[in-house]
Amino acid sequence: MKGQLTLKHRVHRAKRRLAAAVQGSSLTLSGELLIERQGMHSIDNADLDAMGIMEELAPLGEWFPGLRIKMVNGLCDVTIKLFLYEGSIYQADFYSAVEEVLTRCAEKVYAQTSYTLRLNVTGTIHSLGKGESFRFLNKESLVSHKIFDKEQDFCPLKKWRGKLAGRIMR
Amino acid sequence: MEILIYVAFCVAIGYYANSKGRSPVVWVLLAVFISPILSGLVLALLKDKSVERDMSEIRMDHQQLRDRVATDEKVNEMKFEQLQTQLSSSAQPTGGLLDANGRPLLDSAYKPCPFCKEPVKKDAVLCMHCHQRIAGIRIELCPLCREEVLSTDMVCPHCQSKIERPAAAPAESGEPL
Repeated sequence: MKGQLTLKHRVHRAKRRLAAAVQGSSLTLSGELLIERQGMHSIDNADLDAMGIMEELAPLGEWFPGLRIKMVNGLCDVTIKLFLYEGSIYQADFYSAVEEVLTRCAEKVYAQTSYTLRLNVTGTIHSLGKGESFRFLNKESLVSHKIFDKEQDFCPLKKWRGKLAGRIMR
Repeated sequence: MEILIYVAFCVAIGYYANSKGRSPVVWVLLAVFISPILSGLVLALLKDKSVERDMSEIRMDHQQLRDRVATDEKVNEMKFEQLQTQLSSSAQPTGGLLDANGRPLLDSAYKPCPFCKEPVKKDAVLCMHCHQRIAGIRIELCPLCREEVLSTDMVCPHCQSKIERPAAAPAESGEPL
């Protein structure tokens, strides 16, 4: 993946990291995508390859440097674990972007007959003195998020920091 | 030679920063521009982020496991409720006798005894359970209190009111025993 990055991509990534540092944005995220098959059958590797879940999750790894994506094979299920601890992010439309990626994953799973997906991604995002705890859940191929906790930190320079981050990303 | 030692110190600071879960590039740059010793001291005083990260991962994994168990419990409860609903809808109202097709026998050849409510054959004269004579006796509702009374009752056993019956309606005589 890193070898395919062009100079333009690298510059954009560096700019995004700088903007995140200026904004003081950080993301802690932990989640799992549990793929099961109806009727206690083991998961077929060919079906998993056909779904292409890891390819769908690749943009997340690009947006959030340091995100760990791990696949764990169980007896009758496969779990894809996601974890990121205080990663610096600059993603203006974070929720919709993540939702889009996860929806695509869910659609891929439900495109295969007799497979089900249980999605549970939780985390906290801090940006410009605001902290939000969120959770992504699914109902079949429909994925949505909910912000269940909000906190406000003292940040006197948030306007200035926000403007500067926006200018860096321009 | 001195420059090489300086650079080696800076690289060592980068490794140390990485082991503490901090950005090695930033700390190498800090060491180059400020001082390796000073940045090393500051780094030593800062919290170890890698330990925090591991603890956070374990805590969040634990939370997810609890969520998964809770979801499983909820799903199992729903399945159990569905099963119970199916069972209760398929169960017969009284008795428990089923014919070969699994339908309640009361619909076909059986009726409840008006005295003991046990299933008896439709043409039975005497109840096999309570030994009461049941030929021609039906269960009716009291016109005043709407409680169940026998078709032979002249006074309601519940509200003690008189039940008026047409005179030309004698009870069906059962077949001789």
